[in-house]
Amino acid sequence: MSNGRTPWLRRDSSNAILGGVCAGIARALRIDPIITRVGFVVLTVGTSGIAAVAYLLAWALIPASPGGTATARERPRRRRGSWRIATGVALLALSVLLAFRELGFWWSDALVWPLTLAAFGVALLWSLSRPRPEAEPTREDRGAPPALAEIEPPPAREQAGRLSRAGFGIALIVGAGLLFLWAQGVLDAAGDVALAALVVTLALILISAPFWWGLLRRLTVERSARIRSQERAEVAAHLHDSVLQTLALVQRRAGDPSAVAKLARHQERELRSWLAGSEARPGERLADALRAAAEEVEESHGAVVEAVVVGDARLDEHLDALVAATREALTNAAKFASESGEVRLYAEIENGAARVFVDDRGPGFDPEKVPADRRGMRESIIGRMRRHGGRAEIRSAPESGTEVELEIPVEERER
Amino acid sequence: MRRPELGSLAAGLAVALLGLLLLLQEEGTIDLSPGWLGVLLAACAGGALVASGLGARED
Repeated sequence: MSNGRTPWLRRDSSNAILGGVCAGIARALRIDPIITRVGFVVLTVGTSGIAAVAYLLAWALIPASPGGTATARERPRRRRGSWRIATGVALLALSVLLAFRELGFWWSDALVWPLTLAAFGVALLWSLSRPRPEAEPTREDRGAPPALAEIEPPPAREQAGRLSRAGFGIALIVGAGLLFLWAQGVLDAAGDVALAALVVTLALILISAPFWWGLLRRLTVERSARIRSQERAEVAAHLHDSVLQTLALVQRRAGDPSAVAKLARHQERELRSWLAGSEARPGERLADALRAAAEEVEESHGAVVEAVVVGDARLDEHLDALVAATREALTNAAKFASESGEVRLYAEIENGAARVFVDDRGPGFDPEKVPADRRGMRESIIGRMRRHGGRAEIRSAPESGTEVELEIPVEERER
Repeated sequence: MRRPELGSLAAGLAVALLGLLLLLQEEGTIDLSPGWLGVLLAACAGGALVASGLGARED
């Protein structure tokens, strides 16, 4: 089990220009990123490019900050490490080519380098031309109204990424062609023609720019209006399916206050979850599992459980044990103290640990006098937490309520 | 005990090997031409990136 400490240095993907290494160093040193970027450029020039190789290594070895460059939509589509592997393979291929050159197995610089550049460009374009596999619905997608998630085009960041990769691939192929022509001496003769073509192209771009800009603006406005309209329709449909149905049920069960309260609490949870843009995944996320345990105890024991969870983590076997121990503590509180008021569950998952507090205002008891055969507390709470590397503390005294505190380390990378 | 990250381990070994070769070059034990130095740099950086990428996939 890790000590749960957050690494001091992380790549800052949110402020990245390339890979976020300079921004990450600047954040760690608490200085402006422009300083580290200028320093990096100076170092690269001063070391004839060795600093650029060091940058690549740093990019590969320094972990990215949480919520890295890939958006939630991109993550399921691209396997982790793909770009590192692709860049690594390219560098290995380059080293083999250079080694051949050093050994004398070589045709001509004028042929091999343009071919190499063109091959990388074609590979890049080819990878973009493949159909996009269906992405698994992400947390955001599931939280968003379904129809909206279906019609929404890829996020602007993803589109920009694809465009920049396509542009880079095209530049590689054009560069390869120019390099070949230059090596053959053809470019000198074509210099004047190329310059004229360049000037004409620039003039055409300047002339047509207002038209393209206007078209782009109109398309953006239309798209925004369409999305707003779809969103309004979805909100109306959701309110009809949830809140209005619950209100109808409340009217029908007006004579049963307990059933009405239960309906209202269930609806409140569902609405809060929907407004937060998330769908409960009690089998995957700790926060959802704890809320589900609270709801389950509420349903089965008729108690009122006020659950507040701060932070979240992906469930593993240790956190499963934490959830089970919490459920046991909630069940005890609901059994013995529900008549004295609500049971409170507070959980926080931060700084590499998950801490859960379950307290009630019930009659309380003396923990030292609990009979040895009461396995609920000894085994299901204290023993279970110890077996999974955590701890449990029970504070109670007759007539002063009970507080159960559970703590277990959380793997940082699992969050 | 945290499981060692094989990707980072392999990348570290590649960089250490490069450092050793550069040290031997400085000491005059071996004689690396600029061309071979380029080969080594590219191979080490490439190896480290591939190892790191494969390590990330296993996580």
